[in-house]
Amino acid sequence: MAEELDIRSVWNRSKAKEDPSSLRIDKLERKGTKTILYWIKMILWIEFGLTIISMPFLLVYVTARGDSTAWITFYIIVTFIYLCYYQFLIYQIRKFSYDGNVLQSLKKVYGYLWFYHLHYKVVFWLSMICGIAFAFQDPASAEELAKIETTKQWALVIAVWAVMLLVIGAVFHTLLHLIYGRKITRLRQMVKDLESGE
Amino acid sequence: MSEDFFKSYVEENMPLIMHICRAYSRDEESLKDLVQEVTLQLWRSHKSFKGNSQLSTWVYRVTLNVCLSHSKKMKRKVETVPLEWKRDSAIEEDAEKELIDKLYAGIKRLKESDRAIVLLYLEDKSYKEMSEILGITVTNVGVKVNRLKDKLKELING
Repeated sequence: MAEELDIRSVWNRSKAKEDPSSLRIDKLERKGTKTILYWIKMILWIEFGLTIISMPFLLVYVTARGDSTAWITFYIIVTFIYLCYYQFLIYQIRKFSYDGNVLQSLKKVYGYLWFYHLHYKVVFWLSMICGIAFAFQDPASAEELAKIETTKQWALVIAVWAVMLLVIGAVFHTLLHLIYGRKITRLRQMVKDLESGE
Repeated sequence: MSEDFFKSYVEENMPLIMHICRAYSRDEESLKDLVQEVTLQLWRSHKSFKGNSQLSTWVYRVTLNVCLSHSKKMKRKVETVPLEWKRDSAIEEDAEKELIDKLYAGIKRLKESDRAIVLLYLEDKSYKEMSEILGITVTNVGVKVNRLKDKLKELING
């Protein structure tokens, strides 16, 4: 019991020695946040901006390619839904507050990171698939593909594309793991540790 | 909560915030970053504070949430961020400093979530208040505190 009291008294004595004079609240308030959620929000805003900027170029491209009005309307609707989805994600992060209990907050931050991790994977593979489909639809590509005659040549083309996709996918997944993966694992472990014994 | 009250309250509690953040910091720079982040998040959430819990509970919640969510993984070798000593009695300082360093080294060797429990215990919080801050049951708080007290003692005594 005496030892317990000692630890607490050491703790309290050391607290009394803290000198916060180097940190002024007025200055701190003006500084920006550096949390992972802030960076996710920034990245989402950049993606949102890039989608808006690229939209007119895409429209000019599909119009010049001679796509039907129905297809062009479809592209516009899909882009609009995509933009709304981004706004929803940004709103979710903006409304996040750290004043909930620790377990609840850890679960929320974990949930966000897990979701954005998944979001980037889905966006990446969808972009890849759409990009390939777009490329194959292009008249210039169609002309090149028409020149392929033998099964062997087809197999080679498919193999090259598959290897390219796998390499790009592996690099992307590794990067994603380095940015979010370890953080997600740590948060999951903390939640598990706190919940143990409940 | 008025802006003036917020500022004076946070300023008053700054040693406490710094002290908790120190347990999650690798060096002086990361300590400053964490304290900054905590203050910023306190500032952002102070307007929505409705008084459903004690003001101190709110400060502990925000501080621990920021520390747990955003502290970086520590190196294997436990480092303590030295306190900037207010020099009063030079002879007693060394022994006191050693004791404090030992306590911090022990705390830092605990798991991050366990550290939060120990910090609240050291702050003399009741099991009920710890349960409100952590979001786990009072019984579980009791079990964990008892286990961690022994573990911390072991770590401190080497």
